[in-house]
Amino acid sequence: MSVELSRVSHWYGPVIGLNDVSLGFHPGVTGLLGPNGAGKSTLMRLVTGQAPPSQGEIAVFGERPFANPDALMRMGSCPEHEELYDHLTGRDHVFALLHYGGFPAAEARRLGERAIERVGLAAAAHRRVGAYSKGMRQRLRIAQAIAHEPDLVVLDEPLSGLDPVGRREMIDLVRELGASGRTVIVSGHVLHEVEKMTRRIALIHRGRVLAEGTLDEIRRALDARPHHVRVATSDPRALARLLLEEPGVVSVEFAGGEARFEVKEPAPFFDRLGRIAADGAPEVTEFEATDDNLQAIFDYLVA
Amino acid sequence: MPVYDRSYRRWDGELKRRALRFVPIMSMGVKNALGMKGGWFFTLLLRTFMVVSLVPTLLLFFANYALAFRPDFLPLGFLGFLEELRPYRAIQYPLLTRLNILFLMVYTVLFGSGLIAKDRASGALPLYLSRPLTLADYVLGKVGIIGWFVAAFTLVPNLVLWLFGVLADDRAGAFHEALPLLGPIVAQNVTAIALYSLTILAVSSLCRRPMFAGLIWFTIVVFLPTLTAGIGARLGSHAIPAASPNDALFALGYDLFGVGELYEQAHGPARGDARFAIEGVFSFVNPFGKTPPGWCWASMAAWCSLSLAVLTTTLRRQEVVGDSGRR
Repeated sequence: MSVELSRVSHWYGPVIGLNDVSLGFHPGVTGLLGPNGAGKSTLMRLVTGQAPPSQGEIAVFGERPFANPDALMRMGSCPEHEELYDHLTGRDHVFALLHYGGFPAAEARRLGERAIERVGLAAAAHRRVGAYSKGMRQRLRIAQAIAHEPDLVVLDEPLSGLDPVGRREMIDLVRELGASGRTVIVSGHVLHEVEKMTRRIALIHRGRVLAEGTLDEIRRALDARPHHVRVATSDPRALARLLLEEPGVVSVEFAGGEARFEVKEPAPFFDRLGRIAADGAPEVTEFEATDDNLQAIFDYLVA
Repeated sequence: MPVYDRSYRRWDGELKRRALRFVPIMSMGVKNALGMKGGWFFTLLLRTFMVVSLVPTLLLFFANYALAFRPDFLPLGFLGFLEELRPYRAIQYPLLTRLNILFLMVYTVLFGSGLIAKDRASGALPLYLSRPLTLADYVLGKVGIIGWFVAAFTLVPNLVLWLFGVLADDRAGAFHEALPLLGPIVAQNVTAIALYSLTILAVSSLCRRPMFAGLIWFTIVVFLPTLTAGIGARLGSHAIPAASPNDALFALGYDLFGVGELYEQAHGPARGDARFAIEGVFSFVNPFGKTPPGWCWASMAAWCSLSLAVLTTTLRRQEVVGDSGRR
């Protein structure tokens, strides 16, 4: 495990930021989800050694990250509100941060150049950061986070401020970083965008971890909540008659050429539905588990 | 667990040594400060000020050069004055520090007030602390930036002046005669560097606007002498003026270079205008001549310790609480 938090709490005066959190992060991308003020940024600050936990233990590659340059060397972070030096050019900014970290000047130039190219800022690298758009600044933040080829990349709301094309590129970059074997922790509250980056998530709310695992694992763990399945068919009523024979089906609604089922035991239901679709009587043109996505899980857990 | 291709390669070169991690912060900070730009008026003002600030140092260099090689360059009255002030070589070092003090204060405010305040205002501290750096590296780097400017107006000109004096003096034993001056030069100027750097950084760490930091620091350094002098006079105490950092620094130089003894030497034979001028020089070097040196050292130590405590406490709090705690 790359990052491990054991019973970690952190408070700001009387306000609790994180409350008894135990969590692990593996190589690959993990999405950290939660509404504003849930404790995502606090967790990221603790993981990246920006602050010590008030209680509990954090290990990043087996070492405590706080004030530990050896551990910090292996990670790159992009805090949400981190500011940049407006008077420097993009190129100089990344160079300066690498150089501060102990990289020799020539190597810092080379690594900085490569990172800037990677985030698509090469054409604007000579311009002053003060003249950058919000999206360009965001790319620059990410460039400085990945420039030294860290094993752990922590990105707080990396898509904020990016235009649709930028978002697409950034999502691809995050996936690429994860696929290359790094541990990537990425936070966000735009659920479908996080879902595009990863299926592995940790849900945080009011300083506590509500759930962690892949979306499927979490959804399966929520057995008390019936699954919602929408089926488009030539004869909704005939289909409902057949499927209501299954023990896990709780209810059915009709809307146009669709039947909408609430199902407590999805496995036998989908087996049966598959057989019906194969028989073609009635004809099934489309089906979808409408709450087998991040938004639905999030709503169940947080609402 | 998925199997990843591990296509990335960690950088495995040699990093700068741990003890020297503050050096890039310092060197880049100095470079940025020297390249500071504003409107044309500000730039012109700054450049003019930089030139003017070199005048006292250049004047003393010229005086040394003229005395060594071209006495005919100097007016006879001035030569006579120096004769009375013998050995002038010892006095010129605290005198140079005293002459440079105004420029030093302006540069300290100009280049030091924003060093931490700007980082706090923009939330740039995480930029540093997300690097393989510790808070100590950050503080050392910042001390290095402002220390560089303070040294440029204290230690460096004094040392160059000393070296020049030694090289220009062709008497046998001139080096041995000048050698004891090195200790006081280093002691007074290193104290000035520590005092100015730490106090301005402490104030800068408390503010989020460089202008406020500069004003607070200037108020402490400029108005405290008046206050302590007033209280000292009222209570009849020579120790109280030592609470003012600048006065303590001057009194320290006065003591370290043995200016008191020189005064006694010069006091005897001097007559008329020369005596008046000599007394003027001595009281310029140290306005409160009777301040006990022990109190000066104690005051310096207190200012530096207090500044360091404020600096570390503020930054540690910033580090622990962070931005989220304030929002």
